[in-house]
Amino acid sequence: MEDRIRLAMQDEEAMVRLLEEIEPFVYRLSFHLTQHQQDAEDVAQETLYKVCTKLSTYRGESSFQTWVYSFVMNTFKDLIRKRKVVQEPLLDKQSIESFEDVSDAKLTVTALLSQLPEVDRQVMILRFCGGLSVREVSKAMNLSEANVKTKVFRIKQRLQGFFPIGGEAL
Amino acid sequence: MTCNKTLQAIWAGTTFDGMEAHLETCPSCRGAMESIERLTSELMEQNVPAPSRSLLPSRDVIRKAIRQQHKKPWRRTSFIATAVLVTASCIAGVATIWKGNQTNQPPSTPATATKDASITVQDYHGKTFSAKIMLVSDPKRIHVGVTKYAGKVGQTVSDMVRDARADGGVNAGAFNNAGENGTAGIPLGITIQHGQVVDSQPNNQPEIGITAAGQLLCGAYTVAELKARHVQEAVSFGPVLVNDGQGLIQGDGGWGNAPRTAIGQRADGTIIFIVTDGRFRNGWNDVGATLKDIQNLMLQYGAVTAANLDGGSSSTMIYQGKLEMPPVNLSGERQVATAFLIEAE
Repeated sequence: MEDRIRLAMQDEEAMVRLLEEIEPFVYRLSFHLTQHQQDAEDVAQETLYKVCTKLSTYRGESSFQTWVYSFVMNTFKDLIRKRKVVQEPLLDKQSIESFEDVSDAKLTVTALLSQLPEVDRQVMILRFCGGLSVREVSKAMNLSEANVKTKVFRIKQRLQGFFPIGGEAL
Repeated sequence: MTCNKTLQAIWAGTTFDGMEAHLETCPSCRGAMESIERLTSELMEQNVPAPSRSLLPSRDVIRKAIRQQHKKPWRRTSFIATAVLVTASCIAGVATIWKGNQTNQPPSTPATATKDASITVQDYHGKTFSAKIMLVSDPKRIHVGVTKYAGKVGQTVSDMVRDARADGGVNAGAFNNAGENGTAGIPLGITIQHGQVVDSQPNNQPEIGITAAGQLLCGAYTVAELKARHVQEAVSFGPVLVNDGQGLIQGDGGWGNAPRTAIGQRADGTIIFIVTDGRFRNGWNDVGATLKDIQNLMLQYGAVTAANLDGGSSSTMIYQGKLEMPPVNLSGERQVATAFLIEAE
């Protein structure tokens, strides 16, 4: 990967290929965060622009993936800020009495996501959609590792109701 | 103690030495692991509409960005140290990427040297998945393997290969879980093994069979029709990807990206098995293959007939005792009801 990033800084075609390669994932993650196609396209486009123009600032301190994710997160946060809905998630809150009412687990997960505080929702998306570890999530979101751990634990507690999840520890 | 450590690792998204061994012996931790995998796949399988436009910056922006990178002085000592190597790595990088672009053509030489010249296993690296492609020149060597615990639980493909003393195998047909605790005990659709109808459960999916003459048949057949065509081996899945050399998949196939298994046949009788990865097992672009991807790969390899088999966590390929394509589940091979096995010579 390091070689390819270095190459992309010097060669147009290599840069296009690198961006094309990360495009599906960046878009997918943006969609999960925004839940809206147009917004997701905007966030992804802006992220790819930043990756392209700031590639030389990548220092290899975190994985390239985490580095790109931090751009997705920052772009997403900018979008929310612009809309002045800092405290409110973009999603419509759904009111569901209890998770047991919904037999379809997929619906339940979506409902759960929409009920989480916004930062918790972002943690959940990065951790479980993006496949980042707790440490990587903390880097991408600029939060402390302990903070992310607490949030993941809270998510786990809320999931307990409909996913048989063993053990107490985290 | 190990349970605590394992659960912490599962939730934190990390691994440690001995974790896999512990998961194998501890049903409770394995359950927790499966819950997380389920959560991930439910989140991932949420329908994401395809972007309506290219999201890449314009060529002008890219060119300008590269020009500006060039203007920057070589500040980092590591860069200076590697400056000499850059040229070499560039060439290597170009070679790798060029090779990556060439994957539209099947590699001319087998990637895995095998003792048995009639079987080759090749690698394919696509944009969103990697695949192993196994070519078996004699279609009559292909037999269906059925879990020896049929009606109760499934067996892993590895176990079926070992029990049958076969050269290799891939997962095959649809299955249902038997009762509350059983997994993959009941094959769905019509299952035929060595000319005997093993099972005929109701199922709306196509039948995928091999006749006594070694011809691969894919389509909606009844037991009587399969018998009339002297089908010796059959499982049920789908959809049919290629018929009479023509691709049948509309759009991307509508099933999204996932690990996939498929079987096809060339005009000369050679059986083609394709098994892919996905679900990010091999990196963050590894979302898996669409049905269209598999259809196209089949056509590239010269398939005149091809059908999709069970995919997802079931997708597995084994050859000569080695897991050529391990399943995407970190918890190991899944129990399945049926497999296509390659009889040893």
